[in-house]
Amino acid sequence: MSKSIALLCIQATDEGRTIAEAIREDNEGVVITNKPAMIQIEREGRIVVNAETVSEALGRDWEPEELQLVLISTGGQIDETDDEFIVYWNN
Amino acid sequence: MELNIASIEIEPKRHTFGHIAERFGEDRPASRYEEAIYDGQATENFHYRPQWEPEFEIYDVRRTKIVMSDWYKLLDPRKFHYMSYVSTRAKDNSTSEQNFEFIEKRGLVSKITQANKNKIYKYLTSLRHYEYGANLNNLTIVSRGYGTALDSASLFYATDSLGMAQHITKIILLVSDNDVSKLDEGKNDWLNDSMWQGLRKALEDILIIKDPIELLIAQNVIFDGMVLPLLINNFAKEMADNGEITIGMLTEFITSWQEETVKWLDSIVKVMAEESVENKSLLEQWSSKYMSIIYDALEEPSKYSLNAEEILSSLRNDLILRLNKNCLLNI
Repeated sequence: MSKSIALLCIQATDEGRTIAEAIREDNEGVVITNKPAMIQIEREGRIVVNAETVSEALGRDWEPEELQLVLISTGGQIDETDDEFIVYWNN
Repeated sequence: MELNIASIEIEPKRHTFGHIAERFGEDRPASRYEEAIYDGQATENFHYRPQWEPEFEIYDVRRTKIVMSDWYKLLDPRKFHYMSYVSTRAKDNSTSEQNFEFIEKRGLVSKITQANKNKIYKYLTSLRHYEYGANLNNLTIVSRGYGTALDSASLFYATDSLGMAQHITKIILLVSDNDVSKLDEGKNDWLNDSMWQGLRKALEDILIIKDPIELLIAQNVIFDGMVLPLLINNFAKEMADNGEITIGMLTEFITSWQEETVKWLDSIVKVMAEESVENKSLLEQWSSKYMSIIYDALEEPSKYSLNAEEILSSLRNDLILRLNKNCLLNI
């Protein structure tokens, strides 16, 4: 049985786009769709937002809690630490 | 009546400007930084050559000996364009403002001993003029350098240098309870006190360098890489050892500014060094040339400490190590 799709929707702002690019780097096979004013990010099982990758992409220190500033919606359970923000399904 | 609210998705015809898409090889959304930086400078159809330098076009890659296949490789890891730069500096300033307020509110300035105050006036005030020189030098890099990537970041550096001078002014006025004569004395010291003449000469000598990258190495990488750690960071440390911790708080803006800015410098110097062996050896030559100049010039101003020589040579080693590790330069 295939796993459910973890979902992350973020605003299509300059920062949001950069975060999406960082997510693409860390999550093989992720599907990123540009919707009007929104970026939809889907992947089977889990999506990891890695603070280090995002910081490098943005050129400044970025913390996972800042994801809330561009976050529209999530699909899945959430694990948040100082280093990463994970959306996943446990099935 | 039934009302149907349907949403339609409108695919934009273009995701970014044509010249940016051409650079990417595909039409995808670009970041504000990329849109602000890439190919911002005119490259052709210059009608007239500048009268003051008819051997060059108005924007000309030949003004420096460094050769790059593409000057837009010199990207800024901080991604500074106008908005990101201004908002970062606003944040830095409000942190610094809080430090000043903390000290003012508690009347900590009145607790600074006269001996320490005199030391602050003597070693800090004249740096306003050094920073003004750094501002002029960076404006030269902007006017003679090639490509928006280098020019805009250098313009930010120039503005920051002016900001540093103003920041030092604020510190002196706070410590002296708004005694502006202290600023005049600092200028007089810069012009006449034998302690500053080595540094002043070194700085004034590089004001006339024509090669923008040589100037960038001299001023930003080597001079600032020695002067600020010595006369800001280590000076604050020395004051703290003498029981005066406020100077560390007041100069934190400058210290953290430099920590951030060397990321840009290291990254572009590395890109230039990787481009060719010739570039690398030029960068190494310039670095070691200006390193020995600034080392001699700082001998006198480092005497606020009893281990002046030790501090100076350890700062030089740190800088050489940094250039070796981050920029691949062997000097």
